[in-house]
Amino acid sequence: MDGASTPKPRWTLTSEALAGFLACLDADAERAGAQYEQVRLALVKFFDWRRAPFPEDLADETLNRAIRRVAEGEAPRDLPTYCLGIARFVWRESLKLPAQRHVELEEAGSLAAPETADFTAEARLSCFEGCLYELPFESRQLILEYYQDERRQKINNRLALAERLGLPLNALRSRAQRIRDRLEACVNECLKKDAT
Amino acid sequence: MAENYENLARRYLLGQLTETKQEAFEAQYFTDAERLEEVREAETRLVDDYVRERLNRADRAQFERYYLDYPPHRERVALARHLLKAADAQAIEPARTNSLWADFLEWFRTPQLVWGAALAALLLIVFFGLKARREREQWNAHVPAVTPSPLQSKSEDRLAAASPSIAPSPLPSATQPAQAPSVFAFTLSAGLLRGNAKPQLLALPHGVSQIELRIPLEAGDYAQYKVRLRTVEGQAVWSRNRLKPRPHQLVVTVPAQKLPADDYLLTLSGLSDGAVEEVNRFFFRVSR
Repeated sequence: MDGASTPKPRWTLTSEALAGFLACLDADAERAGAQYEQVRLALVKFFDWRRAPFPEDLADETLNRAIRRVAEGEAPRDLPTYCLGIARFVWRESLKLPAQRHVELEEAGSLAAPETADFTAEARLSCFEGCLYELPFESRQLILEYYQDERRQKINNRLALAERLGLPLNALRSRAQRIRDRLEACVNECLKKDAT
Repeated sequence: MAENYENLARRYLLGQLTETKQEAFEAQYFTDAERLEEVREAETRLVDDYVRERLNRADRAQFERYYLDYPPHRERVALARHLLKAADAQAIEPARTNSLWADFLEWFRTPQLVWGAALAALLLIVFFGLKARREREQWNAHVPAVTPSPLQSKSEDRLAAASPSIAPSPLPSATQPAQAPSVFAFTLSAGLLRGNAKPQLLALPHGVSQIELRIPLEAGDYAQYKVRLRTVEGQAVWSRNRLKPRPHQLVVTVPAQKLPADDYLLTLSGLSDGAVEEVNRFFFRVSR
């Protein structure tokens, strides 16, 4: 696997290359699409947990490189693991960024750090409230009820909630996590718009 | 013994795994969607534990040193603060669920409400029990044995009609209570007794403060009445206007001091469209 960092002309993703990559994931187009999303999610989380800047961009960069290599004739047996290998190279590259990108990162990083605490906190709260109430009523109620802190009774409340919804506890946990992810994505999008 | 996956995930997120173990851990969740979900949920629990100040000192320090040294993670913690605060506020005001009926019934099952309802029921029982006892005592005071029953009054009317010389009188006081009640009830006989007819005898026990006069009414009578009480010599004693009747009866309460031993005439008038129409007169004698 070659994850060399020498600058090259940017490769453009084509529909044929993407189709070829999906076919390597699974012969069935629908399953292949689901696997592609799963791999992309795993890449985003990998870069996030490795504390790399711009996890989504790095995930897309990783996938582009994998798609290009498959288009150029490589035939990895385990595509997700192959993508992880490329991701490690991409991650190491992100640590050795040129000065310009460092400056951009510092500016981007300051978006999360408060320039003026009141402004950022206010924007964050406003985005949170807006996004919370954009959720469908049932989702909002589920997430608010799920995360109530009633100390020792918390697990009992979650069991009661699961029973009321007719879900196993692990399915309820997954559903709450998905709603929370959706809320987080909405808040991040809102904060980006607010910053521009 | 294999480490608990939750603990392993937590150490991974806090940057406490060696590079080799880290890569092995990543290889696992990268190829297994369920494992990835578990790690994400472990991260959520770690963040929530930090926000709720449930991490031990060492983990808290590592969390702040490692996990929070990354802007997207700081945003994640900020979101968690808002979410948990909103969720806890929701706990104070219970959420409306799809089933309002279920929530309504559940409200009755709260321990505080159950105990409160039990106490309220007990207090109500005691209250009404005392009230009923008091009313019973007052009833006994209102209806001494000497008071003729309506049935007796009617039979007395027939006697009076058959023999005007025979004046209806209250029953003998054989069953009078030994102790004089403060309110004395007396049912007046219908019809005016003329000529040599004797009045009804109202023998007032000693110590009575009020006299409850029960005036019989004919069917189809008025909605409101006027009562005027005079001595047979015409001296005004007592009167009341706009009295509402009970079924077949009008009840008025007269202070006993207003009726010293004497003969009295009670005039009953019906009120209709502002006009006053005499309905009946009752003649009785008060003895003390």
